[in-house]
Amino acid sequence: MVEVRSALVSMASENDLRPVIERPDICFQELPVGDLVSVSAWPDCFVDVSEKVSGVLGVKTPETYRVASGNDVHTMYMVAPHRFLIASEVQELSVSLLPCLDGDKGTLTELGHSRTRIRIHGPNARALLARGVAIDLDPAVFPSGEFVQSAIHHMWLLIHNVSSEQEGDAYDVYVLRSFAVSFWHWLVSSMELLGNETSA
Amino acid sequence: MSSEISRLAYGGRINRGERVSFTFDGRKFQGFCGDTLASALLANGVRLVARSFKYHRPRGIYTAGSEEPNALVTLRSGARHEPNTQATMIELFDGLDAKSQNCWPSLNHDMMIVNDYLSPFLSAGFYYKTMMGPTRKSWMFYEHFIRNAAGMGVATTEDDPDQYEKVNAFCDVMVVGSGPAGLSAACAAAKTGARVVLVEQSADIGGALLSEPVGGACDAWLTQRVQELEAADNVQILKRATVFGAYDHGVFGIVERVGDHLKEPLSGTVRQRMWVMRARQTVLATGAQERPIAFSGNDLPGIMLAGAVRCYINQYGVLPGRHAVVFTNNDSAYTTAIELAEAGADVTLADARTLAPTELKSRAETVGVKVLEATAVLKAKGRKVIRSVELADFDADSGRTGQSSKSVECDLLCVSGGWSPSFHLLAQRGGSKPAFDQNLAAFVPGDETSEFLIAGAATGQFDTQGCVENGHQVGREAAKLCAFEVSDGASCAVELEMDDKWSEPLLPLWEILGKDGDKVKKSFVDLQHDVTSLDIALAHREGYESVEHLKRYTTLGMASDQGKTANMQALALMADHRGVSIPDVGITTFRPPFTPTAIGAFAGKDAGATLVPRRLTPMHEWHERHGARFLETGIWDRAWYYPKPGENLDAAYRREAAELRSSVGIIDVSTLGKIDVQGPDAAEFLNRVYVNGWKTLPVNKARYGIMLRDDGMVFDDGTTTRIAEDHYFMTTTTASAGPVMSKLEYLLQTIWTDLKVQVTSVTDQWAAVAISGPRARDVLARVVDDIDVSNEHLPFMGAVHGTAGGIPVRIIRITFTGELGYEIYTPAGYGEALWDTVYQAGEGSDLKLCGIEALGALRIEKGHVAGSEITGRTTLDDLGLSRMGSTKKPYIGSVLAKREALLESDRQQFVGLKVVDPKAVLKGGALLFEPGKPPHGHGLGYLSVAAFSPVMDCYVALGLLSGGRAREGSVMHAVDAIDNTTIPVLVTSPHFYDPKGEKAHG
Repeated sequence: MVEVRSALVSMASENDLRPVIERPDICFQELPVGDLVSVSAWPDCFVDVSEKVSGVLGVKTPETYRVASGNDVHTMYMVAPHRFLIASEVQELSVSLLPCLDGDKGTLTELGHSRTRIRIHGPNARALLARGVAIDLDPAVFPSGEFVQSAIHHMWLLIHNVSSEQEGDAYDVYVLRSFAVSFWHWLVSSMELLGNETSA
Repeated sequence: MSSEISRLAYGGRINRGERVSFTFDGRKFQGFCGDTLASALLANGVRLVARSFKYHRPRGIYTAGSEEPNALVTLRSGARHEPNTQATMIELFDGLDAKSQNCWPSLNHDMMIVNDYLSPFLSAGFYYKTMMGPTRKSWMFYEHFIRNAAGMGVATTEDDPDQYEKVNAFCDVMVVGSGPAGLSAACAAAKTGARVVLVEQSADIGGALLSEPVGGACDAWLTQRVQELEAADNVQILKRATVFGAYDHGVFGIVERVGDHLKEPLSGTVRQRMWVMRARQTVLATGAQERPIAFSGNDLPGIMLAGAVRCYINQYGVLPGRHAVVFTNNDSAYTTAIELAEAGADVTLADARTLAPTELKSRAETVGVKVLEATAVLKAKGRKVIRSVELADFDADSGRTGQSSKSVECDLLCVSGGWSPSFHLLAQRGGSKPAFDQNLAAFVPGDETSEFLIAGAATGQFDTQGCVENGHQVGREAAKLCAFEVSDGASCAVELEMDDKWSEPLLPLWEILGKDGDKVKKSFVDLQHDVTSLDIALAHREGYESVEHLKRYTTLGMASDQGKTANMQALALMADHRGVSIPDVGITTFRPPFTPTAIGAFAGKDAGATLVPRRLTPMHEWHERHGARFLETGIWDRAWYYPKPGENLDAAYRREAAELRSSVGIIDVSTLGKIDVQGPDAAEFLNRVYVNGWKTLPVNKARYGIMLRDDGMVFDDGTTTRIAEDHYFMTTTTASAGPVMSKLEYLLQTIWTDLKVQVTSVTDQWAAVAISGPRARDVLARVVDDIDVSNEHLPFMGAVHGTAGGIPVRIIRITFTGELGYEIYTPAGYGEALWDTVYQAGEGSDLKLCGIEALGALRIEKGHVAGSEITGRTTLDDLGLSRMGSTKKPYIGSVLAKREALLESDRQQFVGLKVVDPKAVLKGGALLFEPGKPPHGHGLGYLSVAAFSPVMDCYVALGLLSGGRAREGSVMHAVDAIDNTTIPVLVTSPHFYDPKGEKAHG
């Protein structure tokens, strides 16, 4: 089988498939998407489909548009009414989820190739994202586990706060594949100005 | 090297241990770290620093802050050359290079002073009156000279070498201003746990407290508060930061001057940072601004606002004059007089009020100030600096001076006409109408200031202790409004005892008239724009009575200082002319920015190559490796052409187009919009959005479709393939992918909520490779693993699924070139692998790379419509596609497409155009005229696109021509007004190549 080619492979070091940039205060690296599907249910089938999908994934159904739910393998984002974006560390997610829609209860669209996932972490992760996204990233307002759909510099993003005690501030950012290189450039150029605040 | 003749031996908040060298107009000076350029110039005895805008009158330093109207200088040189910076706001740094501006040949000897002598002819609006004749076109002649003479300073044309950035920030309480009220408010709010941002435009925290003597009571208080705030985790202090704009929903623009106090920004840092602050509550503790009083000659260097003089004495250790006159109508200037005297100046204080405040008068006289009650400054005299003032008795009741006057020599005149609360940010938001406070003779924030909380002097409370207490209360209130708990018992632990309350009321006083009660000359109101009280009188006489008319007619308040020292006086003078009260005249609207803000700060990092992000196809790097040149199409970078050595664009696209027609070409079409349409009602949905029918489309078949807008104009076109019974794969044009997706979502979410259909953008999910040409099938057959691509199994508009070289593919037999063609879709991560597989497989079939320039030429030959024809002004019939519109079903746009005007026979219709002379070159955009008719106006149509056609061996074009189809066979003139060419063209069918479509179906 042909390897899935990262949109950022040209940003990676020689022999690496995915790029990483590390600094003491900030690190960002591309992570494999695994699989990503959009599952929609018709309004009258939503509860039924939600329960089935949750059952298959072993994940609690998200209750809001801000809080993702997940386990080590799968993450469910409720991104619109009656619509989930489901990220998985494993492939072939659609095969296991399609039965949840049996009986014309909704639709499933594969999107695993459409997004690039970049993890941004480190003490300055928040400051870096604040250069672009008009979202209050203060942990009191946007705690670990929450996500938002927003944009940086005209690029659509889904930002998931995956901060933990071990890793500190950390965010998984999903960006449309065609924008991945531009977004990476934005990250690098923004990082270069970070940590040099003279009066703030 | 000049000595600092006016520097006091003591005091000031400057760092006397750190000497700083700078130049002004090439002369070397020294100051101290902590000085501003203004304070350093004053310390060095420099009085003349600028020339005025219109009359080129000598001007000096007038204030000590951002309201400065006079002391505008050009800073730095080369690419960092920056005109119109306020000397009062420039922090002194070693090597600072400042120059005067708006003068020639020098500041001291400015020849343009002739304007001052001509001032009787240069009154407000003079150019409207005197430059309109003698002929109708006279203005065109004068305009050039007027525009050359106008303007202040010269901007650099070099690229800005500095970096800027934007930061989004959020807080519970933002406090603007770090004076006594602001500090107090910030501390009070911070104690509740609220996230507080304190914004101060200066380098140092303290606001008006910094103008108090060093070591006084307020210093300890100030230090304590700053330490308290700096120690708090929930407080952020932004210094050198100006809140320049207030916008909807608690959004503020703040520019932080990160590197402006340095010779150049430190490596890796920005020059300025734009904060987009979103605050839940905002406390405006922006203080008050002192007002001048107008009188003859009130603009001479050496005349300053009294509060500014205090600031120079106490903050910078500078004595601006040794022989001072203080002219006031209120108590505040007494402190200035006392401190001047204590610093060694001989001081005369002229108080326009009948009775001076007893205690202050006594204190002033104790230190040697000569206090004159009921006295006014009639006139200031001097050529380039003030030399003396003429004092006269003043009757507060009549507002008139006595007939006798006496001259007092001086080198400094301090003026105080009262104070106006500074609430520009609130005024920017409109909504809340300010109220007029008769006691202060000033506008104060109105009662309905619901959007912001106001504290301290900005409310009209001018005593320090009152400001501290008020700030404390307001800070707590702000936190409370953010739902933070405010304990009732919390006392005002921020007390600061200062006795600076006014004991006597202010006497409203705006202008000192001549002894005869007439208006006097050179009595300036707006110093930066050279607007005098006579100009205001003129505006009134000529009917420009409205404050908005006054502003525009005289340009009062329209300079870079926004008339901060002028507006109140102007309103009062106009009120007097009209015989109405000041509130009846009204006030103009303040607009952002509060102070001039660099464009670079607004742009941030979004400049140059990073102005907009670029979208790249999955095969982008492959194209780069193979020498492709790229074209920006929207925000996509598309492979434009693949030049061979020595080829330019023209040669490359002609070759690529010809090669595709003769063999086979490969084109990256991944940028096409792609939408996944699913659901049991998907066919019905498509039936409604497309003009043609979709219900009968079999599975694994594609169909070309056109969408109209509601108004009947063509919206977009593309092919949609039925993947399964309830599943379609729609493609749109590259440009309209977003708008089409939005439209479909809109329809499903708001209009047809009963339809069970889901649409999902999959543009980024799929890479798309088009192969086209007579040998396309040969290449495809070599690539696919398990798919029969014969004409029988995969006919025109057929679709199949399978793998190609192990890569999953979806193949649709469609063409944009008119040749046998296929579009092969694969998940984007395999895009490059698929492309390479096809490219390798095609080598034996002479497969050639084809960029979008060649693709454009091929589509012109074929006569397909594209973005240059789907302009939003063309109908189905205009494009010759009316037969596609179903008569059996309604669809979006079907009703309004039947409007009478859209059916007229002389509408511009889609046609082909071919040069009559085979050597002639056509360009898109040329207008079409009938031969023999003058080529004036918009013509009968235009060339939407043109290219060299390898098939026709000449230039051909597509165009829109009035009644075009009926003109087939006739000759028109294509007139290019830019190249000044007229080329005869033959009107033809747009289908130059294979009009019956046999190639595509073969």
